[in-house]
Amino acid sequence: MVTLNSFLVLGAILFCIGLFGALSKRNAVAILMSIEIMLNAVNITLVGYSSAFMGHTHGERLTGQIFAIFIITVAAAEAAVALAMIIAIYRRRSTIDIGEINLMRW
Amino acid sequence: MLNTPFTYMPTGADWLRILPELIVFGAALLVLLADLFIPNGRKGWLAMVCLLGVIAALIGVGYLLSNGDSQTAFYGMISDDTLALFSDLLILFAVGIGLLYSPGYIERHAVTRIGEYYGLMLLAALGMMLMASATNLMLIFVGLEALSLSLYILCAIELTRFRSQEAGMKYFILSSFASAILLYGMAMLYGSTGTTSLSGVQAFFAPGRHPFLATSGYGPLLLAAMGLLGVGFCFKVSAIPFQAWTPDVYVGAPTSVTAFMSVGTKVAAFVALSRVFLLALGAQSDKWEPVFWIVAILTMLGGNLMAVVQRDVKRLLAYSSIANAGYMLVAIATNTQHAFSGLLIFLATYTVMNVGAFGIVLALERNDGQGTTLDDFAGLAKRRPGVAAAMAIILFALAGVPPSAGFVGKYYVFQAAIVGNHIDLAVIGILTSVLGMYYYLRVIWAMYFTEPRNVSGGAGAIAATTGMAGEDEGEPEPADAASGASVAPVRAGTATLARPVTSRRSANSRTVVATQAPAESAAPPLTLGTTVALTLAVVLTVALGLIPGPIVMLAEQAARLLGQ
Amino acid sequence: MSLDIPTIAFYLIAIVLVGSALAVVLLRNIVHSALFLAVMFGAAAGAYVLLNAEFIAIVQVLIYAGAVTILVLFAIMLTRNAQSQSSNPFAKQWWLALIICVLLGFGLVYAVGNSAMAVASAFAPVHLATLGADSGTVTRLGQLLYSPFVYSYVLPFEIASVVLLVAIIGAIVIGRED
Repeated sequence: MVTLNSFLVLGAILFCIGLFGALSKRNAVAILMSIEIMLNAVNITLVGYSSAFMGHTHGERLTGQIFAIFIITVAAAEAAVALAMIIAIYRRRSTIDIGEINLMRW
Repeated sequence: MLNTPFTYMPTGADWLRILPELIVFGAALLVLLADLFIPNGRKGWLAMVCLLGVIAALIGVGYLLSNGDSQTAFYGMISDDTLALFSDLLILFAVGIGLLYSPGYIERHAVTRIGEYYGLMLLAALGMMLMASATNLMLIFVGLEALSLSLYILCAIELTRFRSQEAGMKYFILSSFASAILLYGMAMLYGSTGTTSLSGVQAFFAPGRHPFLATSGYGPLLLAAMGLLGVGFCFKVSAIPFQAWTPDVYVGAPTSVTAFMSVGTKVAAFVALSRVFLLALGAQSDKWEPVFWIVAILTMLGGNLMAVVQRDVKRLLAYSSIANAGYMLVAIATNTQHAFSGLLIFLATYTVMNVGAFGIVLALERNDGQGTTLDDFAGLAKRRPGVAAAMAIILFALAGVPPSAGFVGKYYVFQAAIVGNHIDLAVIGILTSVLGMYYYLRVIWAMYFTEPRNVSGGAGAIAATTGMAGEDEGEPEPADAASGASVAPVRAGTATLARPVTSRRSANSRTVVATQAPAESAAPPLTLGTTVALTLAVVLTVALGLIPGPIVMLAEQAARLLGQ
Repeated sequence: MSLDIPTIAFYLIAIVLVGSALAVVLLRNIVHSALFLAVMFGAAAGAYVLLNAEFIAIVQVLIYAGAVTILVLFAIMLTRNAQSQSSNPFAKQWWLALIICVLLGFGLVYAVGNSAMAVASAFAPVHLATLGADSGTVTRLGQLLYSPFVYSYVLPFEIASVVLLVAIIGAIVIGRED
C-alpha cells in the first residue's frame, strides 16, 4: 500500500543523501549536484503533499505543485550561474576543489 | 470550478501597492538598456540613472506611507504594510549609498561589466524588497533567490581578483545549500498546514481553530518544519553556528557591494524571519523561542570574541556584523511587540552605521584590496583627518556609546528584552557590547594615538612612507597571501620588475602606480560620490542618535502588525 | 498488501531514486556521478507521474534531466583534470557529515512519519496515477499561474522571470572571457 508517507519518507531519505553529499564533497560540481538532489527531495515532498490535499480547496491543493515549478525554475537558474562561476574559477586556478580554493581563513 | 472563466485581473490598486518594487525593476531594466548606448568613458551616468531610480522608489515608499492602505496585493502574496515599507526604506537607503560608492570603486578596480553591475545592484535590492514585503512562503523564496543570485554575481564580478571569485563561489555554495534547507522547512510547513500563505498559517494555529492541536501536542512534523526554517534563516542572517561564510564573503566581495549587502540581506532576512516566526508561527512561540534564545547568546558571544582577534578592519567589520545579528536575535527570542519595534530600530541604526563603516574601508583600501589592517589605520588622524573623524564617529556608534545611533538601537532592544522577561539575554548583550567596545575603540586608538609603523603586516606601509615605486603592485600572489606579508618588505623593491604581467589588473595597477607613485598614501582620494555617501551616513548616524523620534515612531507603527 | 502495478512502480522508482542518488554521492568518478544524476532526475519524474503531477513530470524531464544534466556535464568536461584518477573526492570530515546526516535522516523520517498534524491524510492512500483518471491538473496549474478564480500565483511567476533574467546576466558576466 503506497501512502503519502511513502513519498515523504522517500523525500526525507533523498534529502539526507543530498545533504551528506553537500557536506562531505570537495569538488564544487559535486556539491552542486548534491544540492540538486536536495531540491528534488523537496519537490517530491511538495508534490506528495499537494496530492494528499485532494480534499482541500481548489487553490490550496495545487499549491505544492506550483511551488515545485518555481523551485525547478530557480534551480535551473542557479545551476547556470554556478557553472559559469565554476568555469571562471577553473580558468584562473585550474582547480574547482573548494578545499584548495582557500585563500582565506575560516 | 475547472471551467471557471478567468475572472481575476490584477487591479490598479494591486500594482500601486508594489510601486517601489516596480520602480526599482524599471530602473534596473533601464540601466541594462542604457548600458548599450553609453560609451565606455561615461559609464558614471549609469550610477546617476540608478540613483534617480532609487530616489523615485523612495518617493514611492513615501507616497505609500502616507496614502497606502496596508493591504495585501495579488491575492495575499505581498503586502504594503508599514513593516514592508520600513524595510523598503532601509534597503533603498543601503543600495543608494552602495551606488554612490560604486563609481569610485569601479574606476579603481577591474570591474569591466559596469552596466550589469549597476543592473544587478538594483535587482538585488528588488529581491530584498520583495522578500521583506512577501506574505507568502513562495514569494519569500522567489525574492530570496532573486537577491541571492544577484549577490553571487556581484561578489564575483571582479573577474581578475581571485578573492572576489572565491567569495562568489563560497557564497553560492553555502547560500544555495541554506536555501535547500529553508525550502524543505517550507515544504513541511505547507504539509502541516495545507497552505503557503503566512496569514493562512497564522489562521491555522489560531486558538480553537483546530482543537486537536491543543490536545495532541504537535507532531514532530511541525517541529521539523520550524527547525529547518530556523536553520535556513540562521544561515541567511549569519547567526552562529551558521556564520562560516560571512567573513570570507564580506572581505572578498567588492567593498561597495559588501556595504550594501551586509545590511540589505540582514534587513530582508530578519523581516522575513519575523514574518514567518513572530507572525505566522506566533502561536507556537514556546517551541521556537528557546532555540533562538540559544542562537542569540552563541551569536553575541562568538561574534564579539572572534572580532576581538581580528587585525584587518574589513574582516573585523564582518565579525561585528555577526555580533550585531546576535543583538537582533535577542529581539526575536524576546518575541514581544515592543521587542519587534526594537529590532526594527536596531536594523535602521545598524544600516546607517554599517554602510558608513564599509565606506571608510572602501576609502582606505588600496587597489589590490589590501591596506585595511590595523597597522594601516595607525596615525590616520594625521594623514587624513576627515576620514579618521568619520570613522571615529561611526565606530563610537557601533560600540554603542551614547548619544549615537548604535546606543539607541541597543537601548531599545535590551530594554525590550528586560521588559519581556529576558534579563539574561539583556545582561549577556550588554556584557558583550562592552567587549565589543574594546575592538572598536582599538581602531580609534590606532587612528589617533599611534604613529604609522615602518614594519607593517599589510605588505605596504613601508613602501608607502618611503615612496618606493611599485609598492602598490606588491599584492602577494594569491597563493601566498598569508606568507607574503612577512617577506613583502624584503622583496617589495625587487619584485616589481621581475614579476611578469599576468593579468590586466596588475597592468592596471602598474599604470596607477606610475601616475601616483610619490603620493604619501597609497589610497586614492575620495570621489564625490563617496564623500556624499560618507557624509550622509555620518550625519544620519549622529542624527539618529540625537533625535531618534521619527524612526522610533515608524518602527512602532510597523511593529503594530504583531499586535493585531 | 496488494501488489497492483502502481505500487510495484512506486517501489521500483524508489529503489532507483535512492540508488542513483547514492551513486551520485559515492562514486569516485564525477562523470559517472553526473550520469547517475540524470537517472535520478528521470526517476523523480516517474514519482511525479505516480502522484498525478503530469506537468511537473514533464518539466522535470525537460529542465532537470535535459538542461541541468547537460550543464553539469559541460562544467565537468570543461574543468576536467585529465590525470586525476578520483575526480570526486571526499573532504576529511566526511564521517562527521555522515553522522549528522544519519541522525537528521532518522529525525526527518520520524517527523514525516509520525505527525499529528497531517495524520488525517498521512495514512490515506495517495491516488496513484491510473490511466484516464483525474488528469487535468495542467489546465488548473495554468489557471493558477496566470489568472485563476480564487488564488493567484501571478506575482511569483513574474518574479521568477526576474530570477531568470539575473541568471542570464550572471552567466554572461561571469562566464564570458574578455
